[in-house]
Amino acid sequence: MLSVRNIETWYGPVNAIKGVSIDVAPGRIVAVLGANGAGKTTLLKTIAGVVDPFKGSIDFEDATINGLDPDVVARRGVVLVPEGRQIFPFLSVRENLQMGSFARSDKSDIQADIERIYGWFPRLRERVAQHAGLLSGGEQQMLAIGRALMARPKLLLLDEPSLGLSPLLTREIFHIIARINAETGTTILLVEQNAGIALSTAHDGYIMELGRIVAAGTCAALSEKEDVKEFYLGGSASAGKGQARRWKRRKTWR
Amino acid sequence: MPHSDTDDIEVAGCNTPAKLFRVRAHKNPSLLALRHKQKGVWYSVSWAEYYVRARAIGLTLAEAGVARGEVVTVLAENRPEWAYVDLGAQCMGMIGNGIYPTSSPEQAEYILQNSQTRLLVVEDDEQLDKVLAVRARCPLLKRIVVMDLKGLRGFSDPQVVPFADFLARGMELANSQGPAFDAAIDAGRQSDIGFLVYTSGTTGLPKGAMISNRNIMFQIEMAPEFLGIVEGDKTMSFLPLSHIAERMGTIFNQLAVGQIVHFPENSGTVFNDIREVSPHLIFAPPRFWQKLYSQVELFMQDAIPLARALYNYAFSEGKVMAEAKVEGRAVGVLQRWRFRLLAALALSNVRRFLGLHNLKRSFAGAAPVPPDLLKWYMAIGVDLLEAYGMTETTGLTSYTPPNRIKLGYSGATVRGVEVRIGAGDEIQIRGPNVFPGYWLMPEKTAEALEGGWLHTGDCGALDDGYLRITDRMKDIIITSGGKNVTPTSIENLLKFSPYVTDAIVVGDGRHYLTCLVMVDQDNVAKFAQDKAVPYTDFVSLTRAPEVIGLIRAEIEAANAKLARVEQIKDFSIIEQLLTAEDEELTPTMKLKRKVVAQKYAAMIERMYP
Repeated sequence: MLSVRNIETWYGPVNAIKGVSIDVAPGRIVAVLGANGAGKTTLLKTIAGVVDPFKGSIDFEDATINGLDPDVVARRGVVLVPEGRQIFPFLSVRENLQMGSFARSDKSDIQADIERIYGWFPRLRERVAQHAGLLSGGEQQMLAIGRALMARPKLLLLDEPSLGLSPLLTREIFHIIARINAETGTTILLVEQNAGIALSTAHDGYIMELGRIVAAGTCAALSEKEDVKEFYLGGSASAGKGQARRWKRRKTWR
Repeated sequence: MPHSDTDDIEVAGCNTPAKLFRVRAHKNPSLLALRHKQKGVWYSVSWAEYYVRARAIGLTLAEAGVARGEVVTVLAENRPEWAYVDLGAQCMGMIGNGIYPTSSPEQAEYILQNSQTRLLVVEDDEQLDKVLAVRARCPLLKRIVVMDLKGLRGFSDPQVVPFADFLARGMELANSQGPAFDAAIDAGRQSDIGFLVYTSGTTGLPKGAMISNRNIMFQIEMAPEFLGIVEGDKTMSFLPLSHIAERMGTIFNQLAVGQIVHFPENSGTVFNDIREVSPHLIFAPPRFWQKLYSQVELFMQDAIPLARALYNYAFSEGKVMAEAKVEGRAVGVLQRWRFRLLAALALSNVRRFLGLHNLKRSFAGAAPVPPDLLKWYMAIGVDLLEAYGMTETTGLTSYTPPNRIKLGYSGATVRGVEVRIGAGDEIQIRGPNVFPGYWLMPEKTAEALEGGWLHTGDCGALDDGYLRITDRMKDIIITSGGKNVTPTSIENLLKFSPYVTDAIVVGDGRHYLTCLVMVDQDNVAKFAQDKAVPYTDFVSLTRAPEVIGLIRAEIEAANAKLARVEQIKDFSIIEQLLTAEDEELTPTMKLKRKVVAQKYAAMIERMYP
């Protein structure tokens, strides 16, 4: 469905992505994991057209989308939920959701779609008329996802949905992400730092470090890798001194 | 100067390195001895400070119960403390020793047990963890000293002491026991063992080669002429200090010439730090020179066309000049001037870019050197000289004299050392640089020194005083057709490619030769990127058809230079990204033939359907 080929992205002199290729098959949830500064967000922004790649190509449903403006990319069905929610704080919850359908050509089912989103996120229904800026962080994240869904995306890009949320809320959000994927067949590409929840929710995964993919595979296979267990899932070898180990073993990704 | 077997070898009236250390520290106490980069800032250590710290360590070692002739081991990356401990121990008549920081706990355990180490100095939390895991099986180990306490707050153990406390205690002791330290230095004899070097053990378990004071003094006597640098020049200490070459280079050659030794921030910053320091001398394995060369080649691919054209033109002129130099031909005035102009425009910038513009002398050794690499360096104006030696000869045995370069040879034997070619073309060596034996291994010693000559296990030839090394004797391949093939020379051709880091040729008892290739991740990834070859992780990079085609082209280019029986018919790329911690590599990042052949047996079999 989406195939990213050899993209290289620069911010001025900084080479944020150094040749990344990934594939997203229809109907799948694909997770991209990595530490701060690995280039995950840049990857999503490049796919969404916010940043243009210096090299490489991005194909979505057999048409090249790199170099297109972000709104054109969105109209084709690739919708980004940016990091840190970015909802409209002075609009109500309902207005925020309606904004999501702004670019849609068929306006007929909007009300039905809003109802469906309330079905996934019952808390939003309780706060229909409230200013979105007064929602809690978790509710804002739900609203941001709901707003993106209003565009009826074929591919939903989620940038760190767990950012700033409690473990309980994180689990809830990911549970709903899995439900949306199962019920509507929407393909989802998400980047995450919370490797545990992402690997248990997604089907396929990529691990990025310093602008490169260092490991790829199904989430089940990735979870079995020693380095993933130690560095991403926190299952570390015993330190022998009754305290956490500070130094890092070098990773080999076998 | 030939030395009789009985007379001591003396430099500046000293017959041990410890005495020479004392003389140097007292003669010019304020001169700089060491520099160390920490968090981007260079810190300096004068000879007086160097001596005072080594003395403090020596005295505390004695107080901790380490006696003369007992072993003190260091497990750390290169840093000044390494030198303080090594020289401090040797001044007290103790034996220095080192463990590669990339060692596994099991490897560290073996060396601690085998050397009967009494006291171990480790770098940090990480190295301490290795030792804590195995110390129960090292009953002779009395104490562990830790240099860097980061991450160890709240940790306490009766056996473990911080380096700072250890040093401070020694400073206290020096107030009352200064004469005892001098007496310990005076008691040193030339026949005493100075330090141990564990051989990397590509076959079987590592052996601790004993290096005597006599061995060291012989090298020190030779060093000023061989190194071509003087007091105050700069060098960089970046190969592992547990290796004979860097141990001599950093600690003992410095006693001979008094250069300022620089320790890099860490092993990842070496290339940058070299650019900053711009050393006067570099000794490095071919892999290091290879890396610098491929940096330039790839950089030039991305340069603007004008710069590229200028570089290529200057380089081809440089090659002509280099060839003329090797053949001893004179060059026309016009050509000489043209080259000078080009060198000033292009090649001097290449040298500056690499940090090589101050070089007075540079050596490649510790592994066979691809001849094309030597030519490339000569063309840019760096006369890279080949040297040959081994742990058992205290490093150097032969080197190329700078005014009489002969490509394809590992240089001329140093004065005072005899070389002969024995059975099976084996190179055999006798002289004051030959070690007295392996630590606590009399049978191995007798084997290596049979008949009074060191049996190197390398085969080669002597032409006109120049030594040519063909291969390790046990590595020679005999094909099923009965042809003898030396794999190293073939691998060398392949290694010149910027895309190939290392290769292993196999084919013993087979119809034809094949090879396993370890690719250079950075350069191959760049190739894939430029050619828009999609890949995700390292495995998928090595499996990409274009990458396989790239390596095939490199192999075919090498095949064109080889005789029929030596040509490589098939190859496989190693799909794992190997690091120094992996058992497939030696600490100096060479592939271990035996381990690789075993580990990738299935891969090799597939190439012989």
